[in-house]
Amino acid sequence: MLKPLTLLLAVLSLTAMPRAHALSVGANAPDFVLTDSHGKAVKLSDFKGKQVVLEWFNPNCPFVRKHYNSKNMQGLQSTYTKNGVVWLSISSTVPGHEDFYDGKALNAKTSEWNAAANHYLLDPDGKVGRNYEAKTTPHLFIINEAGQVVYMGGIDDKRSSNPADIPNSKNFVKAAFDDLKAGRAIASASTTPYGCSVKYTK
Amino acid sequence: MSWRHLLRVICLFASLAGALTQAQATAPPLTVTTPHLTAELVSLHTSLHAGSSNTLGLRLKHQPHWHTYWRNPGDAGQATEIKLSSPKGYVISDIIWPAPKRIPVGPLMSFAYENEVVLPFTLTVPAHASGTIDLEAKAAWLVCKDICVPEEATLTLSLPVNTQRISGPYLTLFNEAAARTPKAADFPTQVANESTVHIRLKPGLGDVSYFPYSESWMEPAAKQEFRGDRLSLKKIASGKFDHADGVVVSDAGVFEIKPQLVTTLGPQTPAAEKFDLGFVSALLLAFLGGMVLNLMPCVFPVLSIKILSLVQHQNNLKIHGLIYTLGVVLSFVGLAGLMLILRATGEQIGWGFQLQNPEVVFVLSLLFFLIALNLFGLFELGNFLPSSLANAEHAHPALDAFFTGVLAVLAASPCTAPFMGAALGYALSLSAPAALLIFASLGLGLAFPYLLLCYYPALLKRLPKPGAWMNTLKQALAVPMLITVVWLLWVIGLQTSHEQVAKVLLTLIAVFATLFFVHQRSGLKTKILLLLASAATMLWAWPTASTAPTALTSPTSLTSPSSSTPNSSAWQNFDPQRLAKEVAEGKTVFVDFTAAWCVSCQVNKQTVLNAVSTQQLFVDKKVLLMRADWTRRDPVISKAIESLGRNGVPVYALYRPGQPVALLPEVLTFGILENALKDL
Repeated sequence: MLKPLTLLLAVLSLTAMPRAHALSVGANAPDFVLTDSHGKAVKLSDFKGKQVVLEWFNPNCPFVRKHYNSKNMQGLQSTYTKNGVVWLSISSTVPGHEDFYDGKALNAKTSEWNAAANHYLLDPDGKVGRNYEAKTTPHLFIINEAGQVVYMGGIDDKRSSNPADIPNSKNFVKAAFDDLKAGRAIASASTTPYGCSVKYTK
Repeated sequence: MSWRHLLRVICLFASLAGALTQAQATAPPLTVTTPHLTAELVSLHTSLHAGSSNTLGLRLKHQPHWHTYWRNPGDAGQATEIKLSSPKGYVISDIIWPAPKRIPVGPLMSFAYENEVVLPFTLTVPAHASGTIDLEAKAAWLVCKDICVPEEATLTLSLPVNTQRISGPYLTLFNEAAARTPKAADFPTQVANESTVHIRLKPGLGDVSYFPYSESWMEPAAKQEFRGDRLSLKKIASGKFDHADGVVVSDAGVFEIKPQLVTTLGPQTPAAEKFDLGFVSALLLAFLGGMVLNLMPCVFPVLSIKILSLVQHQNNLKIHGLIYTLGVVLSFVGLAGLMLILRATGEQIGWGFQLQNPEVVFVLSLLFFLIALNLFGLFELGNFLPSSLANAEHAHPALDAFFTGVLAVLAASPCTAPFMGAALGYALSLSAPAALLIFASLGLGLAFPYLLLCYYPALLKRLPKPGAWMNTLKQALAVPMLITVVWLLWVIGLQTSHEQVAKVLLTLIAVFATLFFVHQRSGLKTKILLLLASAATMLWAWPTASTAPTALTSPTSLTSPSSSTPNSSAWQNFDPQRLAKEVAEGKTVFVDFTAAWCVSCQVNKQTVLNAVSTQQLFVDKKVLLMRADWTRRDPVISKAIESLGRNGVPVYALYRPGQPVALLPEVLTFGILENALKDL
């Protein structure tokens, strides 16, 4: 007399498959194709053989502003892109959200900031963000020449939105690149990111 | 991130100049209002005590849907900070964090506060202080809704130092914070860091949310599983487990836990303290409870039939009794198995769930009506069945015995007899096979007296010899059956609507007419036509979703008519939040967990709870009365019942400030209530 549907669901859920494993350090970075702020398609796997940085980005977020207004982020971008690293900044903000920037607005903002990433990418449906389990802006990933994730986490260890904290903080991205350059294992390969939540589709 | 847990000391001035001004000249409290919230430095009392600890706090009143963060903000965000500096001799504590809420933000989860909250801390004032103290604090917070905004403010508060202890305007807010502030867990806890992190708490905590202090290992948005004593938490894939210290928010209170790290947790600890029941004693209790069920009002009509059928089947008595027992036990195990499967899928149901479906009640009312007509002699089964089948029926009275057993279980299941509540609550904290054993033992108990009669027919011989009196008794027993039908119709009425009751009554008339005319004419075509007509009526009257919009898991519409005679206004609808709040404010609350289909509940209600003397007792003792009506399925009430270690109604619970919840017996008397309330 109980709803047959409930019973059916009961049986189905007992046999349901577990979800795929979450991304972790050492795993292959999921490939993606996203459109950049100039309308050009950018494919991650085209950069195989190079180190790639993924930076989750939202120009309105106070934590992102901390690192751009202080030129901290631009400094990292220009240092590493000069050494052949590909820097991709990704916005997973959903269109319609008040923090949403379209390509044109992104170009205006990034030129105002003299931002030095190779591409500013739009991920409007949040699929790439969710694949990487990007949680905050900023949230950073370093991918090695073989396409594996070698660092994931925060930009540094001072979890604040106050630019005055930057000089006293330990920058995890710089530390990871230093370890890579020296041929060491990355000491802090996974850290807890901090910032605003990524503004995904609900 | 220990820096966040330290209150950085900046600028609290205990102005000596204040001592020179008049003590009464306290400045009006300064609030800072941003587009997202109002912030204020507040004090529990209107003055400070020299030489002791004083409770102050940061009051944050958020605009709707804006929130600020707990010490571990979850996936994103930042904890609120209060930066104070104290002159020599003043000691300021860290924020004493009240437990936050889980606030989902898309696929992410925040641990944060909404609406109005106070974040308390203490200020110890040196013994020599006097006059008026001017306090100044710098507070900083990140406030988010769809977007995030960091804000900060300088807040001031001037308080006189004296010996008065007068509560300020935010007493309620401080009390709410205190009710959400974790107390050290009074039970041992352990944690095992496996592919999932498992924490051993204790059974009977009800609905559990866990907030770790560490941000480095737990996936904040993942569903938290709590079964038995075991909390299972999903890890961040590349996270680093350090420790599981944190806060557990449960129906039994808010606890701080510091679990001991072990490699693996042992088997479930089945029960704790007052709900502690060994497996054997649970089996025994279930058996006793089952025996008592025979005497409960909902089983009595069925018992009457059983006695009759015993008189009729005087041969093969032992086999008859065994088959009856088999029917009882298999039905119990079957129903319990179904319940366990549904619970495993997350349905919030408990024992008696079958009677929360109007469909089941409808079928039962038809069944009882047919039994009554049969007892009146209106029809015999043989009239309807092809003769070969009817003969089979006579040749196999076993079938009859089996279904008498099934019927007994269907009728008995809603009545949680004394002893049974604890055993069934315990059963659900066990593995499925062990739980089913408990239900089987319950069934054995129910069947036992009857089985005993079958094995010792000497007892039966005391009954008078078969004769005309039997027919009279049979007809007399039809009356309680019809009364049962009235009760079931009343339950349907509460679950659905008056229209539905009318439809069921029409179905009963159709059934009656069919049987009456079939008895008179034996033309096969007429019989078939009449049967089809009554089957059609039955289909038409079948309670559907549209006639029973609130029958299944619709929590918004569950506050509707209560289970009985008009509730005196003394009874409030059950509301767990309100309950927690009232108890936090020092009130004693009595909760009546009841259902229309639970006969023992109704008996207690009419004879004890609604009695004038009882109501007067509640008024005298200033007890707040709440009624949790479980007539329809209701996940909130199911959880509340489970958190008390029970699984069916009635449950009578007395919530007292600062004391564990007291459970009163299922059979209530005025004396029991008076005794339970004597300390008030």
